[in-house]
Amino acid sequence: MKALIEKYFEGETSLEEEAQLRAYFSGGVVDDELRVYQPLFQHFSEERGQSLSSDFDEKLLQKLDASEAKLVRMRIWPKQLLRIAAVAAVLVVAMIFLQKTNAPQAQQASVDWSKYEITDEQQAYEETVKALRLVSSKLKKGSKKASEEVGKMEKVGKYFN
Amino acid sequence: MNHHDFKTKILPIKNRLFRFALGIVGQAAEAEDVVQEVFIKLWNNRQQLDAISNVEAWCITATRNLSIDKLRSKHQRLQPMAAGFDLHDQSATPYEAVVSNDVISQVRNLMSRLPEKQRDIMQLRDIEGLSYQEISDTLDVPMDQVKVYLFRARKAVRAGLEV
Repeated sequence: MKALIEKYFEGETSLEEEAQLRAYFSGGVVDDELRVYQPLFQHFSEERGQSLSSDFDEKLLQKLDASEAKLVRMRIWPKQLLRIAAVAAVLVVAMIFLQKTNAPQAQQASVDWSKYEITDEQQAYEETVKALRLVSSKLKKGSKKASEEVGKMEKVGKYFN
Repeated sequence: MNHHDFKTKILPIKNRLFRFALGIVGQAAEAEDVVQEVFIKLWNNRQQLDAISNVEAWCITATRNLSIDKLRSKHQRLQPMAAGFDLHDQSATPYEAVVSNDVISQVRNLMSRLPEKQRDIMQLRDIEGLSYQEISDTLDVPMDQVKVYLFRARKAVRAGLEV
């Protein structure tokens, strides 16, 4: 055993021989001469038996989820904002339509619209085109604004990814 | 890295890291805190992890550094300036401050005072039971260097025991 100890301190022992040393020093009888090394190998044996408490994984995963949720919240926020912006855009468009359609109706009672009624076919066509253009320009404005906002959101989103 | 990778690649080394931390801080509860902090740090930085070639080596280094920080702050808490603080006291390093009452913690104390690489290698060999090749891979240290460090570490510990 003494020779094996010397071999150990020379850094020449195999893993099996090191296991033999640990077994020797944790057993009952140890040579007086070698007793000084007993704490070393006892320490190794003791440390080898150490492990984390059984609920470590559970506690860790909870912590990871908590820190993950914080990150996800930050990442989700622009998406929610986009949704809000989209709903707002729809509402704005709807309000424009309602205003355009409601306003003349309110005046209908007092104004005799038949006087302004277009009878000429060509004129009617031109007026229709004009009206459609107006609607189209409003829609374009809305979608342009929306795409600008999406662009901005994407830029902001990059910082959260 | 996702949850699955974390569970299959990182969690299996938790007890090794725990014993690493324990070897420095000396108390199981604190060592457990260290490992938890290391894993949270790793998880929060997982986007950058692909750039790290050896995650285990990263974990060991992080565990060691965090354990030393913990020991230092604990030492500062326990040793207020008024209570006989001596600037000339050369023994007042965190390691030496760990007063050992029994022989086994004396060994822990001896090991914790070894230079970083020597300590890491002795820990991986004598406590974790890794082969030289595995130690070389884990710490990114050439195998012949592993043997030299181990030889020096054991020699220093032996000298400490024989005093």
